[in-house]
Amino acid sequence: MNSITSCQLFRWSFITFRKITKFRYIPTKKSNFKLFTCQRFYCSISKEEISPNNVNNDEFEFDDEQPYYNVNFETIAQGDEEKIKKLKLIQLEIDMMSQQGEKVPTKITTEQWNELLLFSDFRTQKIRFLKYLWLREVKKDHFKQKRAELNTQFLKKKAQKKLEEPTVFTTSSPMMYGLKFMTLFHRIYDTQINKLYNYKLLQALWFGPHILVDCEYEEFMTLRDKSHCVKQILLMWSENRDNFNPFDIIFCNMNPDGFILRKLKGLFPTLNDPDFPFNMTSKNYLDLYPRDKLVYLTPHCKEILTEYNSNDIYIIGALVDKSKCEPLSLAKAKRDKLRMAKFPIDKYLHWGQGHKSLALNQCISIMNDVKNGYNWTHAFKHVPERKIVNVKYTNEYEAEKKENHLSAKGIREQHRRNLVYDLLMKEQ
Amino acid sequence: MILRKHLKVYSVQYLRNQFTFISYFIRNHSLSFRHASHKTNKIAGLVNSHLLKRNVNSAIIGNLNSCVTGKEGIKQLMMRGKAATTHQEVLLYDFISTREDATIEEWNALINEILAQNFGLINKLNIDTKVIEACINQKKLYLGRNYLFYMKQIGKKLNAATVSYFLKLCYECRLSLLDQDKTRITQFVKHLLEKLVIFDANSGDGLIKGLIILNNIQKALEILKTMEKSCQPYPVTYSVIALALLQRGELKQALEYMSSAIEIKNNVPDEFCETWISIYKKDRQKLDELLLFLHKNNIKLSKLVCEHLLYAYSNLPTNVKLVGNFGVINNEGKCDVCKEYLNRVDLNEIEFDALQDTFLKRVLVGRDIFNNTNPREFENFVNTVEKHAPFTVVIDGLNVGYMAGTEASKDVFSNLVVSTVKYFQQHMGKPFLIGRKHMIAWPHLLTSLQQMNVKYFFIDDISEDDPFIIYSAMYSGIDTFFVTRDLFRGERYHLQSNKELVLFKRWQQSHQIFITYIAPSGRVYTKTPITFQMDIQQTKNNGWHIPYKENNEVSKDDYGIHRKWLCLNKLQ
Repeated sequence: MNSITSCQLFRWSFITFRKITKFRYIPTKKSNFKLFTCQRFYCSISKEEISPNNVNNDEFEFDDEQPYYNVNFETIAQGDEEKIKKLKLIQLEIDMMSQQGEKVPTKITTEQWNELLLFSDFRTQKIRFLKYLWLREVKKDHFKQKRAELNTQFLKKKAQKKLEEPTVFTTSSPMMYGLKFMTLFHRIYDTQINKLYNYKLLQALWFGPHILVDCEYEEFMTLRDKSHCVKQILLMWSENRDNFNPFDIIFCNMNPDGFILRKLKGLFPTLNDPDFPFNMTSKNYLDLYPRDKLVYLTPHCKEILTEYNSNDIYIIGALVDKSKCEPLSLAKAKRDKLRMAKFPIDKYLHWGQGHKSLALNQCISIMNDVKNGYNWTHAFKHVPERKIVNVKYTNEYEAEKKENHLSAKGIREQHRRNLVYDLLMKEQ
Repeated sequence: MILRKHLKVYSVQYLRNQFTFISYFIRNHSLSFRHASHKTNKIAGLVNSHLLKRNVNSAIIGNLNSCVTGKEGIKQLMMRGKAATTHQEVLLYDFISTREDATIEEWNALINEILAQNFGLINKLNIDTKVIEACINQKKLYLGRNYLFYMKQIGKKLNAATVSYFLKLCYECRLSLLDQDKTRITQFVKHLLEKLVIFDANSGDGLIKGLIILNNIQKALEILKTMEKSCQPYPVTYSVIALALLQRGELKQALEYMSSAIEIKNNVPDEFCETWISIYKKDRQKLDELLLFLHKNNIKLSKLVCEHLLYAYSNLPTNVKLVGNFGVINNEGKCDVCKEYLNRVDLNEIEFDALQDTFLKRVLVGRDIFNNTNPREFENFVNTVEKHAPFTVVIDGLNVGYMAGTEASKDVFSNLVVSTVKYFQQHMGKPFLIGRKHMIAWPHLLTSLQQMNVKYFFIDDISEDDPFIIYSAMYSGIDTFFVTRDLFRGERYHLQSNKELVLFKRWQQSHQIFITYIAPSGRVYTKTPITFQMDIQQTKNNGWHIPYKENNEVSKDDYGIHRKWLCLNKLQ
């Protein structure tokens, strides 16, 4: 039975009961006999008709405010009518969502509006994006408040410490060595260290090992993945530079109007300086190097990279595929008929996560270690612990014992078998 | 955390009885929780959110809170994030579920208490809609109205969201509306139409519900059309309009809108079916029409609706009457009640061809052929299939070979594959084996395949084999079976529309052979596919077999036989 009808029935039933009791009252002279009143239930006939307060029932005041969010229609839509319509819709939706108590940010920049336009057909992605922006704002607020609290405490402590500080320059006191006191050494500034590192990179440019990073995957990544990619490029570049024998990283297939370069210019303000050793081109890697030398590193192939070959030039794809997992780098290598290789992860690590792909900075650090002569067990320490369940070998010697080397006989056998198969398929 | 496990077990199944257990458990362990304030936050939030979802009485929640913290109430703790929001929700829920009427001071107290939680989601802007949303969930029209008057007396203005939510509330409680409400609703509807030129899904939903209360269905349909151009409306709006049209007697239109609701979400609300049954109680044709419509869209009904159907069919005049009962189906498709077999699966050829096309284009080739294969391999595959088709069985060599695990010896792998191929050749005829190139190294595999004269195709080690199997099975016709233990959940992801999914699932269930065990002697034990349909179906006597779900049953991925059916097959 419908719940509404049953409730109604109940309501009407006891109202009749109430009426009947009225007629049952028998008055007596001296009676402490109380009037048989029915219990006062919550459900009663609507009080609106009874109560005198609500006179003007029909008139309500409505909020006539403009939409809360300001959108710069000109820059985003550039006169396109459809886009303007879509933008207005999105504006409406976000307005309503903020009034309903959903997780929506209070400020949205033009770039974020552009991104929201792309999500117009995908509701869940839009909601997720807005939730992310909201979370960022809220965390900032909380962080500010916490900082304010901590600041007051810090100032108190500082005031206390000043009273307790000892005086330094007295003849009888011993010489204090340390920060703010005496030192033996001349101060080394950050710029000096930077110059040293940059010089090393320039050396790598002239003489040293090169490595390519392929940036052609921009159109396949979402905004979130692209920003992650940019951050990984930054980390990769800095970790490489810190090494005593760094790679020369060349970014090829870089889109000059694209998202990645724009963000990188923000992170590296000196990107276009002639002194700065950040190398990038919009050319393809096939134009830069002959096909024989190139090796594409993908986690989707079957050939394993056992040793670092200094004659080969390795390509790493700048692809972050957290949202969609497609073997794009594999497809690319197949199309260009390049050699492929993957890290020997299965041999050295018990992998805990699903997909065996690593971030760009981790890749570069591993390659650097392997190039500089360390073994794979040492190199794989750069892989974060959350991805690993266990390390298989603590010692390189143990690993070598169990290795199945591909012998000449094995290669011959494989070749023979493939020939037999091809013949049989032709006969069929 | 132990607590989470207990919550899951006990709150889902034995709620009120086990409340004492939970409180006892927490109280005894409260010492450890007392010192970790962040942990108590988490636990408080966890407990509240978990129980709120199951609509537990608030008294329990309040008591639990005090147990958890070890102090009286959570006011002394500074709550952040999820704990704060759940606390706010609990306060609201308490207030609205326990009373029918409230004065101004009570509203004031509630709102101040809620807004005192600085770090919760509910703030000044959105508290109005949250209150009315809670009223919708509890179906309390009077409280909602009361809140509007309170807002007026304070001097607050209504924003667009509160207006649309109030319209939704009126629709939910549409049987207990008064005339004054209707005038108010006309005012609100007017205001919304003026203010919002475009409608998004949520506001449009409220508007349409308001228009339906005022019996202005034409305008509602116009608004739906404009909404469809810009955004995707909720399935609720479609079903609401379908209900309204049904009550007016326009069946065709109602079914159209219902089908567009089903495309988004594969579900028909109970109210629609019940109104249909109550209107056309005495018309056998119309009842059949409803069931035909549900059959086309592959929908399962709930038990309530089935009871109504039973009652309706049994009260028809004697020449059109149908009698039946709830029953169970056995493995071969025999109904308990009428002792007849259910209909066999019949796939339409046209639809089948369409499925095959989509698989070829979207899954095998995809956006970029190099993702799954390469062009040369693809050509070879298509050539071999076209040459040697039709096959009777398609065997997934990898899946069969690794049945004993991946760390057995290669002899074991080849033995398994060879014995399955032999078995299917003896019993069924022309098998087709799909494997990978590294299987060539398994001893005696190629030679035995040549001896048996079995056709095969080996894929590159890098490519995925599932789409190849599906395509070759479909190419050989509707009658081919395929052998794997893989459920192809990943491939279903590529099919986007509901109809394709339904077709694929039907095809898969009726054509997939599972191998349960392969003996060392070579004997293969298989599990035959399900040959009967699992939808609402019509029998020879023009009766019906209807599968149903129990109330509040969570619909999982049903792979097995659906056991619970309503049988309406007997004439007396």
